Amino acid sequence: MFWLTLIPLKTLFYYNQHMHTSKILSTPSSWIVVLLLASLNGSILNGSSNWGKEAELKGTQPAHFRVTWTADPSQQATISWSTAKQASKGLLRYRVKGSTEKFATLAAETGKYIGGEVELYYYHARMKDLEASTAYEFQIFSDQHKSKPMYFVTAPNDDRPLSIFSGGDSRTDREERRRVNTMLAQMVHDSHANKAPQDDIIALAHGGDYIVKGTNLEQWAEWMSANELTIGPTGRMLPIIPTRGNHDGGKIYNNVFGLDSDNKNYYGVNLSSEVRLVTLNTEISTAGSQKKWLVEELESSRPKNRWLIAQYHRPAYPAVKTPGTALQSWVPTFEKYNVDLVCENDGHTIKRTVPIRGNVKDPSGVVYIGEGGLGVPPRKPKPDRWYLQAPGLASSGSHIFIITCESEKLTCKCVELNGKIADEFSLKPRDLKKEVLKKNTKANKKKEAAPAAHAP
Amino acid sequence: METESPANSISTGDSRWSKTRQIVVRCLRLIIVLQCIGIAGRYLWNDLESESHIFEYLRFERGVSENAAQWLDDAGAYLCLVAGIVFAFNMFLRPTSDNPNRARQQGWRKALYWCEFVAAGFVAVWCFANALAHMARGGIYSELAIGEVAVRFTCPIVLMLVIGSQSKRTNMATIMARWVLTIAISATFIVHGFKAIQLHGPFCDLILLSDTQIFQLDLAQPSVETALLFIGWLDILMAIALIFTRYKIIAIYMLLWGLVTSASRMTAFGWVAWPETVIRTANWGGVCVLATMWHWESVLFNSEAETIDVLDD
Repeated sequence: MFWLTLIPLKTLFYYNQHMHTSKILSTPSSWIVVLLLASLNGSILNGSSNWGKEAELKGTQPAHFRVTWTADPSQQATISWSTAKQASKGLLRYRVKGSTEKFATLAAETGKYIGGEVELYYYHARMKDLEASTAYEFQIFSDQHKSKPMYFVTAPNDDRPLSIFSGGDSRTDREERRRVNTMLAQMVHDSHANKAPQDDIIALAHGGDYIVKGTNLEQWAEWMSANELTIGPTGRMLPIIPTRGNHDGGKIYNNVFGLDSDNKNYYGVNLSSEVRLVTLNTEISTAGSQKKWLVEELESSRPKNRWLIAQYHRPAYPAVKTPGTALQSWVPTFEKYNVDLVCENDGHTIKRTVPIRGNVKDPSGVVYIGEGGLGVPPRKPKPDRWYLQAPGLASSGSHIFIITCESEKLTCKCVELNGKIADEFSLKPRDLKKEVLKKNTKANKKKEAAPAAHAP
Repeated sequence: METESPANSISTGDSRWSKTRQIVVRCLRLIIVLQCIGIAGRYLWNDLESESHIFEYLRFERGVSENAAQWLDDAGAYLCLVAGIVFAFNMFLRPTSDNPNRARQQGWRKALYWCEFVAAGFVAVWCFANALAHMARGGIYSELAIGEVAVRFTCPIVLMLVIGSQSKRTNMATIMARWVLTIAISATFIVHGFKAIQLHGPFCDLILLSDTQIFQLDLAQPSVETALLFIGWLDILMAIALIFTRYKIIAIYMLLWGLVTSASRMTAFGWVAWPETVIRTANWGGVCVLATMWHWESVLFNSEAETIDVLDD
């Protein structure tokens, strides 16, 4: 039934994008059809499948469902949830989706979220030794309560094409955040509904600033609730690869994403055998141990991966504001190891820079995208900055980037909340032999010795 | 043996007192001028123009339209610049020389006096509002924002208190000015010290990037963190000591350390970061003013003691 409604809606959506809306929706009958379909669609999303709305956080009833990837997502995942009262037992039962094998049971680590006036409890079930590119269905049991069945798919460990979302800044505009999440759920669903494998969205690389004040548990609770809206109509969960933003200070962040209290929030994960995503933390020292780690990480991962992507919160090449310390600390390293794409956030704009090397436009340079728009009031960018000139761009609006990694190209598409494509471009895989030669040019040596200086 | 007449004694004391007072006022003006230049440098003149916390608070927390928030933000920065020009102008015209009452009475000097008074008030309010907006917006250590920049909005207040004091001699306003400044400097050092003890990332980066850019000692983060712990505790101890004692060594430490930390913005990020250094002039300049105020009070105390001795004789 769902498909019957989805198809005409998608058709309308398509027409909306490619033709004048006024032409399509100019007759009363067309409006009646739209409203009928929309209400039918809504009832199916919210009624029979019960997805598209948040679970109630009450007593020991589980809610705030989320899947986090911070280590080898082809084999591991952390399933997390919350309760208002501490449950005597929090269990996860899971198995390969569609199989007849017995459910495995996993006891969740539990504890009280640190800080905040609200009292809530977290549960993290750490799934390990999973099969790559496999759907796992699971259900959460918390005392006498149980969640609806959900599932997620592990990352592939082969060289198949894939897509991920990249976006950040979902902190202020709660309604907008909910609208964006609903859009993401639909987009994930649509990406898997067709036969083209390359558009299959497997995760959300969240660039930070989930909420306004990182020590406010109530705000985190709202975010975790709203995050449930990313669960697709079939119960498919969208794993998050989290980044810490400047508004996410405090201990709750690590509680939310199932990280140890002393975790520094920088790590690398392989999304396939050829795609490596490096997550960095701009909210701690960028020039010390983290930089050392980054150098080691890129040195080891560059030769092994066709696509090397980095994400962090405060931009080195911002469309508004001044650059963060990433410019001094990390940009020379990105250039040295020829990172393909860098995802930045914080500015509440949409941007793509020209390829940059040595603080000048260089076809072999690194492209920086992003700036965050998952539920924040947008800002007017400053398009006169040299690195935002064509083929770069600067714009604003709620949006999400879809990064598609294939063997021949990496495509990056920025989709706004209204479905408009704000930007689309592709990169070719680097010829690393040439890049190594280029690395030794005079300009690059100069750049490494004296990185571009900008105010913090 | 010739003895000094009471009239001479008072005259000498007044002269010394007046000179010290002038130094305080001039120091404060210079600090605020530089601070205003720093504000303009950060928000108006930078190639990569930035917006203040006031803009971000209005835009993101209050939903004010971007144009209105931007207009207000730019207006604030421009008015700070205008205020800076007023202080610079007054530095040369010295309307408060010798007798502040006289300055208030003479026509054009009176106008300048009130201009300066209003300008100081505006800079204080703008800097305070910025800190308040930072606090309201959230972010790491945002709850400490007012303490962190206390000395920035306090210097204009101190100037208002000093130029507004009714008497030539010390009075409640000047005593209050000294205490306000002392507490503000202490608050600024305590907050910075606390952040250093918490091994605040940007502080580590200031040292590490300065090392990379200039010193090239190849410092490791653990060493820097150990140093930050020591610095942090020292800052807090000195800040507390400043409230209860008047040791010059404390003032010298705070002055030098304030200067070094302000300059570290440029050593870490290059010349282009000059507004970040200049905007922090009050961090070390405030200590200069305080030390001069100590001197001012001791001059006054000595002159009063001399006068009383002579009168007793």
